[in-house]
Amino acid sequence: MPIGLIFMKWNEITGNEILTKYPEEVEISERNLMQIFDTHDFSGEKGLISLMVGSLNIISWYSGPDTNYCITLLLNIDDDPDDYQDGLSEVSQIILQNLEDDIYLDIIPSLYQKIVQYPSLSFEQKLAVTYNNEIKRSLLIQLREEGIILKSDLTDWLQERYLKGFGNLDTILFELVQKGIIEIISVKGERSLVVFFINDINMFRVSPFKILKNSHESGLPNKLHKTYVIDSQDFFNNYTISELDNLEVVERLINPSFYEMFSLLRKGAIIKKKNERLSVKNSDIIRILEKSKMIKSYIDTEGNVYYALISDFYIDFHIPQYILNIIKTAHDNNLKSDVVLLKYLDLLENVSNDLIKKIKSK
Amino acid sequence: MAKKKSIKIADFIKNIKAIRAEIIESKSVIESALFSSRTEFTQNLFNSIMKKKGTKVF
Repeated sequence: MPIGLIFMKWNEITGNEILTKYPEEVEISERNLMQIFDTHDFSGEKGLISLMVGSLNIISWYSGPDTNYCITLLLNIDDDPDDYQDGLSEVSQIILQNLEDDIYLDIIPSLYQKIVQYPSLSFEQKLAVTYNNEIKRSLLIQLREEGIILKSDLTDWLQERYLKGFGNLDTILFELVQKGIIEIISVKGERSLVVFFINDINMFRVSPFKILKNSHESGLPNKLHKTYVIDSQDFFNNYTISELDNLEVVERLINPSFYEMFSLLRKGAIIKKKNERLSVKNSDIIRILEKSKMIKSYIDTEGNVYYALISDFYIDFHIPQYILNIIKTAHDNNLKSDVVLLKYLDLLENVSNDLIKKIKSK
Repeated sequence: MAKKKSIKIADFIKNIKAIRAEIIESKSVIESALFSSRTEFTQNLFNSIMKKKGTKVF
C-alpha cells in the first residue's frame, strides 16, 4: 500500500520545488528528493524508474529534461513497484494534462486513489482503464484506420487535436508497447520511427452464458428463470455493437463499487428479501445498471426481488485481422513503401505465431 | 447481417502470406483480404463468442 504521492519540478535556481503532495502529511527530505531527481537526470530519459532511497521504496515518473516534472510514489518496503507502474504512468499523464490553472490540485486525491487501487484491478478492468483514457483511445482509433503511422506524424496529429496538451507522447507510447498494442521500429528510408498497430482492444456485450443455463446457476425460481432467459435473448435479438454503449459499460467497469456489484451478478441473481432495504449506494448502482439494460429485476410470489444480469461484457486483445485490407489498399495505391508494408506483415505474422504457441501451450 | 467468416489465426496467417506475395511479386494474388473492415471483424468475433456459449465468460 503506497504511503503518498509527490509532484515536483526541478527549478534551475531553487532546485527541487514540491508543487503538491498527497496526503498533506507525507514527508520526504530535500536530500531524498535530490537523489530521486538525480537518478532521473542521470538516465536522461522520460519515463519511470524504481529505486530504494534509504528506507524508502520508490517508483517515480519523469517528464524529461525539457519540462523536468517528477511524479513520485512513495511505497512501503514490501510493495512491488512494478504493480504501480501502469497506474502511475496513467495518472502522470492526467496530471500533466491538467497543469493549466492548477486544476491538478483538485484532482490529486482521486488520482491517488486510482493508483492505490490499480494493482487490485482485474485484467478486464485494466483494459477498460486504458480504453477509457481519451488520448489512448484516440490513438487506437487512428491506428485502426491506418495500421502504420510515423511517430512524428502522430505527434503532429495529437498536437493539432489536443491544443491544450496531451502530456508526454513517449510515456503513452511506452505503455502501449508494454501492453503489446503497438511496436515502434526504425525502418530504412523512413524519416521517423514507425508505429505499427499489432493488437486491438475489442469489446461488446455478451450473454451471461453460465447463469442462463439453469435456475440453479441463476439463483432464480424456475418460473422466473424462464422469463429471465427470454428477456436476455430478447435483449440480444435487438443488440447492435456500439462505441457509445461500450464506453458506457467501460466507465462502469472501472468504478470499484459498480465492478463489485457486477462481479456478484455474474455469479447469479442478487436477492432482496421482502421488506429488506438496499443502501442508497447499492440502490443507485442497481438503478443505473437497470437503465443501461445490464440487469433486470424480477419479483417472486412472496415479494422477494431478484436482480439478474441480462448482458455480460467482453473485453480483450485481438490481432487486428481487418488491417490486411488496409495494407492491401496501401500497396495497391502506393500509399506506403513496400519495405514498411512487408515489415508490418512480418510483425503481424510473428504476433500470430506467438499467439498460436500460447494457445497450444495452454 | 454480416457474413460468417473465419476469425481463426491460421487463416489470417494464410492471408498475410498471400498479401506478402502480392507485394514481393507485384501481382494480384487475392481479390480482397479476409475482413473488409473492423466492424465486420468485430461482428464476426461477437458471433463466434456468442456461438461458443460458455467458453468466454468472465
